[in-house]
Amino acid sequence: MINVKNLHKTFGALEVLKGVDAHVEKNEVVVVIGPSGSGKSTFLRCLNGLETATSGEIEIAGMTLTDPQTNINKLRQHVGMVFQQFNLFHHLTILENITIAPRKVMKVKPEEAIETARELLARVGLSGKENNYPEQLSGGQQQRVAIARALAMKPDVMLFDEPTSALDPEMVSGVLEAMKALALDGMTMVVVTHEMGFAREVGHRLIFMDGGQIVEQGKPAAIFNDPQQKRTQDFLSMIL
Amino acid sequence: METIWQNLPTLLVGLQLTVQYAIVAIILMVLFGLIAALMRLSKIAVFRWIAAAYVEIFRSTPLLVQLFFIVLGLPAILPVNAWFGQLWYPILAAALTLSLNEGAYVTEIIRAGILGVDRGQKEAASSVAMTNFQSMRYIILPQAFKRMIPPLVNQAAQTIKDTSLLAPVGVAELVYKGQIVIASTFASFTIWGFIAALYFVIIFSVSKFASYLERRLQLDKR
Repeated sequence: MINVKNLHKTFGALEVLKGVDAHVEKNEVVVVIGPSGSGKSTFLRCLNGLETATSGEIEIAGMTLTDPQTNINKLRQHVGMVFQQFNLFHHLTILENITIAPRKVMKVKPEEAIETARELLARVGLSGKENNYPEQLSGGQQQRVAIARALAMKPDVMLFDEPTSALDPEMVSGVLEAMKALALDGMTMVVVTHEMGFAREVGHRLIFMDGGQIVEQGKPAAIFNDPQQKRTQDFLSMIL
Repeated sequence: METIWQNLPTLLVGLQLTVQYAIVAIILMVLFGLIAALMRLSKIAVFRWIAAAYVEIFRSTPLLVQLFFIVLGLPAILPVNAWFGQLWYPILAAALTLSLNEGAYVTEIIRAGILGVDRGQKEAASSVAMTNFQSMRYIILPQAFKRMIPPLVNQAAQTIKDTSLLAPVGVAELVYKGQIVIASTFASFTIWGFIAALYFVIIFSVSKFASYLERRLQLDKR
């Protein structure tokens, strides 16, 4: 589903990604952890072209993102993304937030888009909020709407960029539950997070990044219990 | 009072022209401002240069000079009167020059409004596969527009006042008519006072209507 080869990304003189190779299978849930500044968010943002790779190759959902011929908007229809700050459209109702892209981008009929949106809202436990505006919802609720908004495009892959980092502690579990349900449905997911419980419980594979590289990867339980690399050991000892 | 009453028909003809020029200029200034703002934010360098040159030229020279130059100066070197008609060229040129001048300021208002929208909104729009045009049209501009209302109203008020500068190039609007009336009545104080009051009423109503509009948008759409 995702194939990344020797991905480099520099911002000016700063090299954020120094040759990342990664592979994600269909239906796999990959959790990316690492200290801040390790490049994990940049790596994720490269996967749907929010950041343009400096060099290297990214294949995702059967398309080559790094090929200039590729229509990036076509590709993004297959790759959903959830942001740390939710980024719901402030001027639109919850229902409009979810239906606008299917309607305007995929030309889905309004009734059809609304029906899908209602199903998705029910799925993330927010039926009845259709006509509210984002600011009227709690952070946790907004993030679940953001998940529904991404799912409305019927993506093949979902990317999560620290989806619970901006939430009050009591709001975290609802979002993680929604993500877990999605994982159990077989969605292919790449999750950048600091939620180690989620990584251990839901993740099929854990990637530890530091200094713009993948330092170690493997089964979450294996890495948590017996990290092989010194840097992984140091990081885990600080947060666990 | 007597003087005002007797000359009211003349002044009202001028007022009508003032309002017509103002309406046209306000519509066009928003149109020009929007186009130039999008050009200033374009990825294509030539667009950015053209728009920046437009803004700087019109902002850095007096409107009155621009009007003299385009309405009265251009016909001296170009057969514009033949192209547009002796009667129509001054009218079109005056309206267009005024609109372009105000549009230069509107460009900066709209540009600032667009840049004021949180980056995350554009990223979210991109992430659900919207094209640049779609995210501008459906996500960025609607949010930018709300915060642009107060400065745009300000500019509209300025535009209404600036129509008075059309008098020296021969547009028979309110100030022009006022001068004619004063030439025959010598009632300088009364007529100018009355004309000022007319401008005040128009502009005050516009800004009241705008704050009503702004409150409504605030209530409907947070």
